[in-house]
Amino acid sequence: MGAEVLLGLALGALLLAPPFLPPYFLEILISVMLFGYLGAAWNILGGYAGQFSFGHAAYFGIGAYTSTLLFLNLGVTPWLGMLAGGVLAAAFGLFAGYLSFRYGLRGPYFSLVTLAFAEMLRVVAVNTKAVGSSLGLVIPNREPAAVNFIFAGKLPYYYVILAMALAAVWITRRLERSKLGYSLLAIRENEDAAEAAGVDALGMKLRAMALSSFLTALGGTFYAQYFAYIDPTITFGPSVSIQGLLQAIVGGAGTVLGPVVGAFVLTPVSELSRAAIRGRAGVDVMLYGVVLVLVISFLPHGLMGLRRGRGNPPRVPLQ
Amino acid sequence: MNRRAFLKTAGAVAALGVVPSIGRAQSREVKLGYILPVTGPLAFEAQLSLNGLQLAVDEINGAGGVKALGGAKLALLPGDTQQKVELGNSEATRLIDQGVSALIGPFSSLVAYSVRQITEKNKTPFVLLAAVADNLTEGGLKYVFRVQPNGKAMSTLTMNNMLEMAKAANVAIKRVAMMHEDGNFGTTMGNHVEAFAGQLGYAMVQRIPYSLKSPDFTAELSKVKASRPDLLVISGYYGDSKIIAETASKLRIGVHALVGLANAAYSNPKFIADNRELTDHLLDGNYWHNPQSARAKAVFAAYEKRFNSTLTSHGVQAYTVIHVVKDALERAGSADRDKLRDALARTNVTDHILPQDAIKFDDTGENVNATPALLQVQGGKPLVVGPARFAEAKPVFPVPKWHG
Repeated sequence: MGAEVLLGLALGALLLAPPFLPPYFLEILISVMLFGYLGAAWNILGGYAGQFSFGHAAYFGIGAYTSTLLFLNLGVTPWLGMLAGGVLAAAFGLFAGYLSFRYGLRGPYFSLVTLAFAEMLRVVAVNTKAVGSSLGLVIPNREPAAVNFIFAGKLPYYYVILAMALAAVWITRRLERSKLGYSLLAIRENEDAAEAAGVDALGMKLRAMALSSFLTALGGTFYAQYFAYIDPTITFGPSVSIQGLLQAIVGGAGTVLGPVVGAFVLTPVSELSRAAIRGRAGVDVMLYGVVLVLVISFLPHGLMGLRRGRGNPPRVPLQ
Repeated sequence: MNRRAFLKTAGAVAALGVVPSIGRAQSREVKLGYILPVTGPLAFEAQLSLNGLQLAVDEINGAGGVKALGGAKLALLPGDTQQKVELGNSEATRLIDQGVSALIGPFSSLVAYSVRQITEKNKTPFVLLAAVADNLTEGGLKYVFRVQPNGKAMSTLTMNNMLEMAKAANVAIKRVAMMHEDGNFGTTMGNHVEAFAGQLGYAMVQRIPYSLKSPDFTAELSKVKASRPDLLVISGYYGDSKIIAETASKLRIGVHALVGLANAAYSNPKFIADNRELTDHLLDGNYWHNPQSARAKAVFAAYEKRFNSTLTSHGVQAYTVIHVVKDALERAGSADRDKLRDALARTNVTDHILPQDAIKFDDTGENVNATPALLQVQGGKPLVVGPARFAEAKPVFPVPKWHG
């Protein structure tokens, strides 16, 4: 026990406290939840299956663009567009995954290919007038309407992204105890051995890819609705890809709560360091970098590695 | 030191750093918040804007503050966006929580799209700085204002200035080629130059968007040369614009002039100083000050004295924004955001250092008289050669060397 009580308290606070928080904290909490959610989505492929994608921006962008284009051109509510984006992203993930896994790309080679796929989509978006080219897409005339995923205040957005993050954690938890989860772990630890033991590595990795890219795309739609503007660099650029994996790795890749914990540490560290050293530009970024270096060198299993032991088998450091 | 000891020390140091962040509140001051990318890829340029803001604030405070508010001083509250949308949002929200009367920034259209929702929701005046996207002021927003020319004014007025200059020199400009970076800024400029072609009577014979990461432009410029343009227009940042000018020179591009459009290099004093021969007679349509204004000269001298460098166009814009806000504060007689907004909407500032008539805002919040200047590098200095009434030098046109 102990951990469960703590989790319950944290959950209660996340559900009940936000209406009483000043807007600035709410803004940061939304960032935390979004990054935690993206980390959790990445974690399924990167943490559990051990397939380090550097290109999750591809799925994020597909999600953001699909729902926004459907909304702007056909008036389809982004709630539906979100699902459409997810399905499209999963399809693209299967395509990219099949190409890479089928031809045995592993480790850094796989990472590079995913990076290339995202970059390819960015260039396509930059040069396609129908999707706004590099001028991007503005969601105009923000008349609040829940049915259109546009709210007057920040609070509803917070609860949407909180629900998404909780759902992602729940899915991860289910995954961990499923046949798919065990297969992914086996693949991560030793793919050849897993295959020899009868695990369908290609099929399992593709399933992880589809799930991970589907979830990432939903985050893209949330981003578009919340920030009301998307462009190729924001959505398909490398910084989205890095944000997701950073949360997961710092928090603990391959753990259920790791990505969310990572987001709860990284975003506030960035905010606090900026608040502390305001006016002396750049020092806060260095401080943030120092924290990253410390976590990576002292906690190779991420923050969740701190409470390894009871029940959790020691994990092999991720390469 | 072992790891544990190191962690302890580091923890203690970090804790010390975090504590003294509580702001000092003073009653007799008007808070203005800025959000600028003071760290990250645009840090250098953002610092130039920040210097301009600081200069104007100190000048106003030194001269007795806001008189209508009993001499209240202006206080600049910092916000750093690092050129990231989510940071723009959180910094803007924090500054609004801290009670700023207006927000200034954010040096990027991408960040502005998102922040303008927050300022609108919180009924806080948002004066844009170095954000050119045309549609930023659209959508019935009440609290967004922009002093500088937007993308459309910048590109169409620059082309207009060029054509007038050519006409005075009895040279016809019929064929225009354009190269622009493929981001939001370059694409906006390119779209307008292309859309404006019919109206101004030139043909766009080549339009080449390029990636800022391109290491070489020989192929692109060969294509430009083959299309035999009269004019080559370039919207880009520092490094790419430099390589394009060098390559164009090497290829003997054969145009009447190379013209920058809001170009980050071609009227940049540092670029000119570093590339004297290459930059001679380059043209650029850009934000600028009015060289005829005595006040501008004084501001330049004050800036030089304080920052030991030359005031740039970013600084001029920032300086002007503060004075526009101060003027509105005087007329509002209050630091209240809504009253300030209404006063800003009725702005009519005639004593300023920009090359334009009075600063006034239309219903959308755009400065109706915003004008870029046409500059030409002569004797190692960017000099205003158009529009004629602000000119400080006669243009050299056509530029002989490009025909070489």
